[in-house]
Amino acid sequence: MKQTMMKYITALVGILMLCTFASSNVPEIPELPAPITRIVSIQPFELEQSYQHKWSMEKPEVQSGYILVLKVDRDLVYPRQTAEPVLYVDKQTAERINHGSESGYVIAIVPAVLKDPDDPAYLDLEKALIWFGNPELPERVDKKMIEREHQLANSAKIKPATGKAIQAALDKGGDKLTLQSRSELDQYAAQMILEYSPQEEHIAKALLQSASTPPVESQ
Amino acid sequence: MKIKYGGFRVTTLALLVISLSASSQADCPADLNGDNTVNIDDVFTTLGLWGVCPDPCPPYCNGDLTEDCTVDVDDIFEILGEWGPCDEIYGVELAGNVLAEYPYFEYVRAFNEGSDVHVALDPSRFPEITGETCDVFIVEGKTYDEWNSNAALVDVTGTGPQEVTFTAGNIQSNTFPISGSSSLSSEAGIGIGKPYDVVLDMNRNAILDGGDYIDGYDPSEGIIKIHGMYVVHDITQAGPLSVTTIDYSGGSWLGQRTYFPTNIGSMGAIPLVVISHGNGHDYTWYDYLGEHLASYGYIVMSHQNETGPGIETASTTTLTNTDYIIGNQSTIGGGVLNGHIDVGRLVWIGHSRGGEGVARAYDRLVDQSYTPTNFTSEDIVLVSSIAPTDFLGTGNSTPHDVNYHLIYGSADGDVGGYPTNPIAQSFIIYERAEGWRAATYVQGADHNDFNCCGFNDFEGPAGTEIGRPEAQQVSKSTYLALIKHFVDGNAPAKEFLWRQNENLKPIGVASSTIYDREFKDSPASGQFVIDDFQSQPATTISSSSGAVSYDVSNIHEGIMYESDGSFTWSASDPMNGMTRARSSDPSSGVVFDYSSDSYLEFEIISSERDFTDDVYLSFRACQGTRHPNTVSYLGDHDFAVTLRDGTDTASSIHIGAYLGGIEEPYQRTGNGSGAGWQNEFETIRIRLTDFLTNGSGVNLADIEAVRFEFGPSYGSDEGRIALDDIVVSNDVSAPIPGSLSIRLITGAGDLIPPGIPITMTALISAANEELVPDTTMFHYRFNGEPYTTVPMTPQGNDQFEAVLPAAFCSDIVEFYFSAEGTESGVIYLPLGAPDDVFSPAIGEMAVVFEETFDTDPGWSTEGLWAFGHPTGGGGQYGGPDPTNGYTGSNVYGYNLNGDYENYLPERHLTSTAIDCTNLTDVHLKFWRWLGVEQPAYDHAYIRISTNGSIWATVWENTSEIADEAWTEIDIDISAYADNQPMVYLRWTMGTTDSSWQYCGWNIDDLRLTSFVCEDPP
Repeated sequence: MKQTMMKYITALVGILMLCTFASSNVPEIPELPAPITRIVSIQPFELEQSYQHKWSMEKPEVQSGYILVLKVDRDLVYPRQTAEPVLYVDKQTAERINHGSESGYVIAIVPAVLKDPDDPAYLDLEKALIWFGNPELPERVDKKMIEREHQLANSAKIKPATGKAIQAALDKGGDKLTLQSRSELDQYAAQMILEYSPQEEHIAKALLQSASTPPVESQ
Repeated sequence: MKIKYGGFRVTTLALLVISLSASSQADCPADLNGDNTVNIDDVFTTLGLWGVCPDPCPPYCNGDLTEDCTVDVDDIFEILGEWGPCDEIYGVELAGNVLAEYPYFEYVRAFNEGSDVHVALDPSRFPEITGETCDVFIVEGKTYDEWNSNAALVDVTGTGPQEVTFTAGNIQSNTFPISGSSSLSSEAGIGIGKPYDVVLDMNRNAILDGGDYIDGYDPSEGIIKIHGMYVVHDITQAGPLSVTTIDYSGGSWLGQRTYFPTNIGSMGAIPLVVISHGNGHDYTWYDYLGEHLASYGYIVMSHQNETGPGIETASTTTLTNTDYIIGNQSTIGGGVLNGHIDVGRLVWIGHSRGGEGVARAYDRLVDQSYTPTNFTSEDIVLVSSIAPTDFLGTGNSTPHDVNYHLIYGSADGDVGGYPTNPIAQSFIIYERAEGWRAATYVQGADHNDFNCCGFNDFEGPAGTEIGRPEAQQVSKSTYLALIKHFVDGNAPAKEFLWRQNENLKPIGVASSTIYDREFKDSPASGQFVIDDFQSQPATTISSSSGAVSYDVSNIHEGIMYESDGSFTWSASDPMNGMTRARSSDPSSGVVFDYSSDSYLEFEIISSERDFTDDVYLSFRACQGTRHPNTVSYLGDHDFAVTLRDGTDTASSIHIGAYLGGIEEPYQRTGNGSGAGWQNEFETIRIRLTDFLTNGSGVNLADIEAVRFEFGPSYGSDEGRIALDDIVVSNDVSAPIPGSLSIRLITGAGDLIPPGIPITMTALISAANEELVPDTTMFHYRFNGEPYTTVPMTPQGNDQFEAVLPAAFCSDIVEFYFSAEGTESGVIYLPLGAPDDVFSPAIGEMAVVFEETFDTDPGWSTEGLWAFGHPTGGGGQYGGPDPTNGYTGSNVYGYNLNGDYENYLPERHLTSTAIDCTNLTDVHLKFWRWLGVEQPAYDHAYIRISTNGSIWATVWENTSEIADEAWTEIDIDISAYADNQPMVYLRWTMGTTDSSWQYCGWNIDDLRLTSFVCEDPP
């Protein structure tokens, strides 16, 4: 473990050096792992048709989970072409629907089993760490990397949200959404972008347009 | 007058004396032997051809002047009727620009509107013009057929034909500005460059006829109409077509914005350009480019790109969106695009992660991991990346042999070219491109200058930021030239891709804007590569096997990658500033420095010393960033290039003569001390005939050496320079999509067995033209004898067959194919034939060493390496060991009973010495069963040594490997093993990390193969 930790510390130092040398309009990546600022909203969802979670190497099929609204340090989510900090929720990567670098609000989808605590994919919100881990492409993040990032988050003393905060976010999010497909979930997510991160209206519009059936056209 | 050319090409020899000797076949048809005189030799030639022509009678039956399909006495009478010297029209380069120093004049084709055109002839090359007075005509460019039907000369300068008199002396005194040339129209519709031909009317009769000189008059009858010159409008400005834009979506990640000519209904099928944006970008951010290209006759579709998860998803969205628009053209926009997408002419442009995504998408088409519904890899004509990342690395994000382009801003604050991070080194993907390729490096532009709305990420010295509008002027004009050239075959557009920016830039780009251009012909062009610095690592031998001599200092040849993570100059990192490769990539070059007169000379091997069929000497060079010599001599760098022939006659040209030398690195700071960002290569192409100017006397038919000379006597006082890709280019352009092409379905390969005739099948077809009947030909020869030409046999479905007679070990075999299209004229395979031909070796690969591991060979082992029977153990991850060898029961394996350990240092299995003396092209083959975690965690290697102490890695795992069956491995180890008396092979397990164990190495049935040839009895 010591060796592994050293490897990560070395990588982190390298990343920090890069940021230090590159004086630029692009903000430096804050120290990682980094916690979110707070959970604003949590809403469970279930879908009749599953979809593929492309934000991890294993790409599991998703039929349920949570749609989260998170307040974050804007520098963590500044759009970069090189690797960005990966958003983790417990033992899974989260899909970021928007960037949130102007608003500071990220809307994210976390695949999870909602009810069966014995299922490995069950997410206990009151025990779950939510954090930004080392920069990587999410599609290359495998179970092993998630385990390691989780260890690093623990070592950095990142804590789960309090039960009170979780309950408040659940209250804010509202009842479980029961939807037909990912397409309907996108429509819902688009509304949340318009509410929390209106600077990214273009993402919301694209989601709304993509979700429309049949294809829509505008001049 | 009837004029025909027979096989004329604009090559060096043609420029020397375009006497159109081949015109004997039509203009002077009775001149059968092409000596420009109809005489007794032609009678003898006729007698040698006597008899009936082949049945069916071919279009050109040699000797049959009366075209009655018989060579007989009537043809003799024709010869007698034409007795005497032939009239000749001389095809020459005439139009160009004045240079301040030797060679004092450059012949070019592209002139910006408003520029002065000059005409020059060098009396030392054309002594017959001395004392002659003629009229210079600039006429509307004519096609071959138009010249044949109307040879009248009509000057279009507005000032009438210009009288000039040539004198003895030099080219300077025979260079003439053409009055009115700056007023020539540039109106080219949706094209680039209005074509003109330039004629010296020697007998001043206003007719193109015998004795005249012409720059133009394309003889190829091809789609690329090579005219004497082209006047080019401001290509940063919108084209003549109004543009309509529609937004629509086909579902998740299929949101698209498409731009097209409003009058598309009156157009046929036109090319489709697809734009794939970057991470955090949006598909609506490329209006400037979509509208620009659509106004010139293209459909442009920009789509939602799923870049968040990574490059694989980005590449998928490029593929699916391309499929979607093609497959749904009947409904999109109410069907406005229906039937107007030319699926055979697709272009992909990607930005940042999307820039890597388009390269990866093409890679997936090639490796068939993605199969589109509505198009194929062959439909992708061009891939271009704007500041791409390189996450996936060697072997994954590669453009293969598709035409490829890169545009990049030196002040990019995102994919910034940082020495610490190869993911941010955009040029790595460019270097992997194996087809025709071009690069545009824009100083002072940042990452998001190439879209409308991304954050300002500028990183660079104050006052150097060119800003988004200016960067987009460069982008618009570059993309227009790029697509016009590669998709439509536009000739002048090509010059906007390689002439130095100081020499030619679009009118709408500010004179203060600096950008570097690289251009490289595909190996398929048939160019002769003097040295690409890749296949031969020694500094004293070129990749073409010629000797290399030098007295420059600190020379180093190797892979162009940044090894120490800093741009600070350090002698221990000789490739400092080279953000061109990962250590696993092959892209190599040579670097050196000097502070006094020095040279670097490349011997030309004897078989390649005739440069007369070629056009340019081409190479690329850059300055070494932050090197003390670069810092102390900051500015464009100049040096001399010399050709020396077999009699030691030499001719030298300063590269600075063409305006602008090698650009100094952009003075950006960071990533170490000092100023200067990544090294900026620029391509220099010197017309070979420039070396002949003013009677240099150098013999282009016998060039013994190309010499680069540096120092105070030759240009800049001191410097640190890198050189690469030194080639003699025939300037063959990339094939135009839809035109006639020849592709081998079954060929001879690189090796043919001795004593056996080889049957080859070619697919000869075209989408946009017809094959001229009976023109599919197979040309072959043995041992340098004249070529034998035989018709290919039709097999149906556009397939044609040819048989190469049996060859034997001592033979040198050469062959090529030809066919004629109704638009393209005669085309060849290889493209550069007959100068560049197929020449397979005669012989085969034979096993020269074999180890079956049925018994223990006694190799050296460490750790849990062992010889014996694998037991099928292990497999915590990735599956267990095998339960047997590939053959027999025994193998060499790492832990025959289970997985490798955690925290494993490197553990080696090392062979005994293997004698490879007198062996060539040695390959290592063996059967593998390997389990190893991805290289971020665990490692497996194969290494080789010729002394048992210094090891080179020839293979390593680049991903997780979880073999579930025996897999055959073939590794080319010729660079290390050929002709070596002691070759050691080594398999290494480790290092490994703290968790996730795999079964590790198992190897069986090892062979070394080598090239051998034995004639059959």
